Amino acid sequence: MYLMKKLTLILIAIPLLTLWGCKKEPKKGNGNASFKTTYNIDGAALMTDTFAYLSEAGYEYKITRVEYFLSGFRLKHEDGNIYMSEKVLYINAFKPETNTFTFKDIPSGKYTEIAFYFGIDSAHNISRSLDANIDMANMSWPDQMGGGYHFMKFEGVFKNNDKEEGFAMHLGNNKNLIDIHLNHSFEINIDNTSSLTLSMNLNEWFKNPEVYDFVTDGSYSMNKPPAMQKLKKNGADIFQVK
Amino acid sequence: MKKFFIVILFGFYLIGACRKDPPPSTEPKLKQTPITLDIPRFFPEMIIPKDNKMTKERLALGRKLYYDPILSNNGRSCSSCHFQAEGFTSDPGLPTTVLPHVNLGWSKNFLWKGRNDQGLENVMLYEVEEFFQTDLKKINSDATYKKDFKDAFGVDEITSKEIAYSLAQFFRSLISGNSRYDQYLRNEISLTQEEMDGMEIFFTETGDCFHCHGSMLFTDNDFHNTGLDSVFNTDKGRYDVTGKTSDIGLYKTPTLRNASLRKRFMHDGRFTSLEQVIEFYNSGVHMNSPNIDPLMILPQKENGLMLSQEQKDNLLAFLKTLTDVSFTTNPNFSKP
Ligand code: HEC
Ligand code: HEC
Repeated sequence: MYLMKKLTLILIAIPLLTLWGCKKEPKKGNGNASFKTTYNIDGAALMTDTFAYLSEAGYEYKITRVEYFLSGFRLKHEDGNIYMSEKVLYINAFKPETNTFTFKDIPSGKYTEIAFYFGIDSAHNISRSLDANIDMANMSWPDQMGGGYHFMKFEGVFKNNDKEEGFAMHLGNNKNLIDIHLNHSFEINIDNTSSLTLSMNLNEWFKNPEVYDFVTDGSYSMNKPPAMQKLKKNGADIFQVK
Repeated sequence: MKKFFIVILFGFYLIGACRKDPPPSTEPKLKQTPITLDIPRFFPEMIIPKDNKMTKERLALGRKLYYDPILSNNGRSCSSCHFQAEGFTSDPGLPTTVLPHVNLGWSKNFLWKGRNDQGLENVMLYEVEEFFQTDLKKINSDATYKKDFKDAFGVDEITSKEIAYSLAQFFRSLISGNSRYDQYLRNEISLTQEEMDGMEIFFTETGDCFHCHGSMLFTDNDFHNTGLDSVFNTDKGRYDVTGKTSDIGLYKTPTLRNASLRKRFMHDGRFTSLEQVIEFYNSGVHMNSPNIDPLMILPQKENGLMLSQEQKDNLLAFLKTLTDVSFTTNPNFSKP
């Protein structure tokens, strides 16, 4: 009988422990951060189909496509610890569902900086390695030009002395990965989700620190290292946190 | 001892309770043989809805239906216009080019104007209900079909839904990923110098084909106006579906897999050879077309691609490496 009791105890304990173990609730003391990406062109709303924008070099332009990757998110705690994520995020400005993403299980407390890569960190920027879905597959960067993925496809049409010409700001290759650091203080609260908005000013691609001129720098940037380098420099300050 | 069992039962109950698996299916228990599709290397994940997982029974039914005129009221079957030997397209002389049935398991947008973007099952429903206007009485009076549908879906009465679901399974199995290009990527063969040069043109800014016909699918699943025309009068492309002026002139990018087997090219079949298509991209683009894709009017393309005859020949040679004979002759895809 004694044995029986012990067995019963064990048998009760196992399921209880199992139940405990399989609970998928966040670890104690952690919270979440949900991000939203939004767009503006020097404050104006992003629209297709209209020559509503003016680049620093003086070209009127319209936008037809904005697709890009963000990766390597790092959130800096005031105590110096850094929360890191391995996620590679595909974002299409015109597909709202791709413009929100959440990081879970972040230690609570005050944070001082949000850092991430514009593009795909070199560990993941390998041809045909992501291919988890069609959107990502479409971003592939041909092996003929170094392989991996397009970090960005920013396309549209500009007016060159009343002539309409296309532009395609494409960024790729590991050396053009942009490491973005944004000072921002925010809190992660236990069992709570903090909301953060990353707002991209698309016109910043064409200025600060360098003026990008579609005609002299090239209305497409792919396989043009100097053009991509310019975009890389200009890209460091395209985002603001809100 | 009884207590003992209760405890065990309780334990199992608890373990069961915390599993986050899908709730038990409401579908009747069926004797189904699950199958896994052989997805070629480097291909993306295929979208397969939970309620239509691949099974031997449903796939076999889909294949049979594809070839059976019972679905139509005029003696036609799907295979009347979609021939396996031509990569599941053909030239029946219609004003609209027959789109090929290949790798549609990965497709998000269907038909030239993207009339459907609700997934394969839904397109099949459209084909059955609207395009073929299938008379369900006919199929319901066929004893063999009755039994097959009962086995595959557990239904006593066959509806368009089950027909669409089985057809969708057959479409998912129509995978082409064993062309010479694929074999080259898998390091099994090497391509000729001409093909390699053509590949270079295709995948670089020289030809700039890859931006729309890229990745393993050779289509971006999107819509573009490539500048085939400068005005759109009656047929306005994707605009006819969305009503958005920015969609005037846009059509779905067809896959280039097995393109060399086609007899007509572009949504209206205006070209009859790949040579003509290449010449169009090289020198025939109407740059003043409304909503023309920015990639077609990059300043360096002002005078067309300016490819030499040799470059055009090489590009053609590369396009031909996308032909997959093991697909067009696969006995699993033929009339059962
Ligand atoms: C009379 C010839 C004909 C027959 C018969 C026919 N089709 Fe088609 N099919 C076409 C044409 C033409 C198109 C392109 C139409 C368009 O896009 O407007 C097409 C396109 C399609 C597409 C879209 C492919 C893509 O890439 O988006 C699917 C799916 C399809 N057919 C399925 C079927 C099925 C299923 C059947 C049998 C039930 C069938 N077809 C029978 C002529 C035919
Ligand atoms: C801007 C996107 C884009 C680019 C760049 C592009 N294509 Fe296309 N391609 C399309 C679209 C869209 C269609 C269908 C157009 C239509 O029917 O109105 C098409 C049609 C075709 C077809 C006909 C396929 C069929 O079954 O009818 C071939 C072949 C083709 N393209 C080859 C090429 C080649 C070779 C290049 C590079 C020289 C290229 N394309 C560049 C978008 C593009």
